[in-house]
Amino acid sequence: MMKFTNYDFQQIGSWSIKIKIAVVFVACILLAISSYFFVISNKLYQLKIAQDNERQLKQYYTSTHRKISQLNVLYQQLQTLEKIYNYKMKHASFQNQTFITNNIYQGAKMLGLKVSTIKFQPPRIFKNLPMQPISLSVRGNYQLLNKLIDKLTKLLPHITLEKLQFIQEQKSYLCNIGLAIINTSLKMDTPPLEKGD
Amino acid sequence: MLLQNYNKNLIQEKKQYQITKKRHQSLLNKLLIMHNLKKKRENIKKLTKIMPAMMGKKIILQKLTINNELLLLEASGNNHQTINKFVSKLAQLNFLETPKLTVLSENTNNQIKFSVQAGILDK
Repeated sequence: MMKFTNYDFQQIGSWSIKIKIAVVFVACILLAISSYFFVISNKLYQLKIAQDNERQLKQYYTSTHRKISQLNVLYQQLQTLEKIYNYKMKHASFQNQTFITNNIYQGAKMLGLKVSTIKFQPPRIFKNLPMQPISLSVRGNYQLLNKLIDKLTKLLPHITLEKLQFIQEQKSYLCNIGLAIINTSLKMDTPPLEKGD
Repeated sequence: MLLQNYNKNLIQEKKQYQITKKRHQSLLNKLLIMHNLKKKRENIKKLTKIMPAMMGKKIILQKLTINNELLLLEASGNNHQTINKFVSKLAQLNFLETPKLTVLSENTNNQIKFSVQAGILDK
């Protein structure tokens, strides 16, 4: 303590070289510490955030890129599916009521069956598929009635059998058939593709 | 900046991918529904076709109702053994639940009237 009082701060040049070096060293350390706390630490924090951000973006990029690389395969599958679907729908959608009625009458007549009623019910939607329900009553032999059902399913490949009832009458059976024709065009639930279609 | 542009492109591509995926899924669902309906139809047809052979000559079918979920049958037979044999044959069909036999009336003109009820499975 006594030694420090011997040094005159007004005449730093007169200090010994050892003291000068020590003072410069202490000043450098102080400068380094203060610059770390006031300048560098903030920058380091920003760098850490940027690095985290970059890592997240890279992960996002990798996962999305993986999905996109499957896109072409998906397009091809979709096109194939659309072709199959369109083909199936083409056969289902062209038939009108007269066509169906005539075919049912003719089919029954050829088998010697008697058609009592053919009723076209109001169309309805079943699991996104528009359907045309038809109910018909036919009288005749059990085996022949089965043959008629067979014929109908061959003629109209997209029909569903919703109800089938055989009731015994005196010499024959009354068959009440509830069927529905899947009658739809290719309607998408999502907007159409912009490319690759 | 480059990464941001990349990001924008990726978001656009991702949207496109989601649209395609939805469309793909929608089509698949429709085809699957059609396939299931067709399968059910074929099961119903099969059931009505094999019914006379299963019944034989000793059982007379009076009423048969089949819808998408249930088979309901009313018939008459001349003895319990024949009826039980018929019900066990029905039980062997893989798309039917275990049939439930109910005797409606016995010995009316030496005939036993009965009904059978069975659920139709999605197979």
